[in-house]
Amino acid sequence: MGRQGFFIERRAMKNKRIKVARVEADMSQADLAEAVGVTRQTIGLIEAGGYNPTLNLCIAICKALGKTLDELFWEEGE
Amino acid sequence: MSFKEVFEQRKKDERIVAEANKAYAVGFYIFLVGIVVDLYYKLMLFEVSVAHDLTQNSIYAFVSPLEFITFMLACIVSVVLMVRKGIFEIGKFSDVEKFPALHYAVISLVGALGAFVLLIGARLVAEVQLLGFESVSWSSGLSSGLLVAVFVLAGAFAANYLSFRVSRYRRQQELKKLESDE
Repeated sequence: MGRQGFFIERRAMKNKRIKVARVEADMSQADLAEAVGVTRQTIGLIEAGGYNPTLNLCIAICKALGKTLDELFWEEGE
Repeated sequence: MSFKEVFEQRKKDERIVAEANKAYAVGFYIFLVGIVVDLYYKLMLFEVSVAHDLTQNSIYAFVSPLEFITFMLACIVSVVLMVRKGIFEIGKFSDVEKFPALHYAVISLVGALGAFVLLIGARLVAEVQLLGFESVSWSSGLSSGLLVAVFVLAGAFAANYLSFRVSRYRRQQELKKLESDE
């Protein structure tokens, strides 16, 4: 099964683009959290790479920040 | 805070739901193990009481089926909820078309060995508690343990196979429905 086995979750990638887009939109983590219906902690974890959001949440974040999925979530090199 | 605000439901944070579900799963397994050990222990106390005619005025003369029924209900409901969604397991065999017989034979054997050890341990504790260490009957414990182990081996394998068949059927039905909707 390898290192990414049943008991080891794959760590999410740090997402600086969300943070940059959020700052450009003049929104705090709390503002973005409220806009997409999650807690501020969740937004913080997504930006820090501590949580992999579902597609629905990704889309909600994109809509709130006026960006596309590619702009915010596409990983370089893939 | 108004009356409406007290009962108003806000949209749930998906991460919190996911983390809470993991926590509930841990609690569920702790309950499961604890109840199984307790059931075995109570059953052995009852069996030893009956075998050595200690049931007169004994608190162990009756074993309530409520705990066993609750345990079975919790297990069966969990499995049924998963199987209805076409989910057999969360590991590498989650969407296979052929039952992984060898894998589940080994799992069932491990379960049977666990049941065997647990029963002997529970019986040992019950006999020491009721009769004293010098009256422990190893042959009774071994024979009861073997009987339960065989039952667990067959039952676990059969239950896994049945779950697999039903979940595969539900999965195929779901796929057919999705294809017909296209």
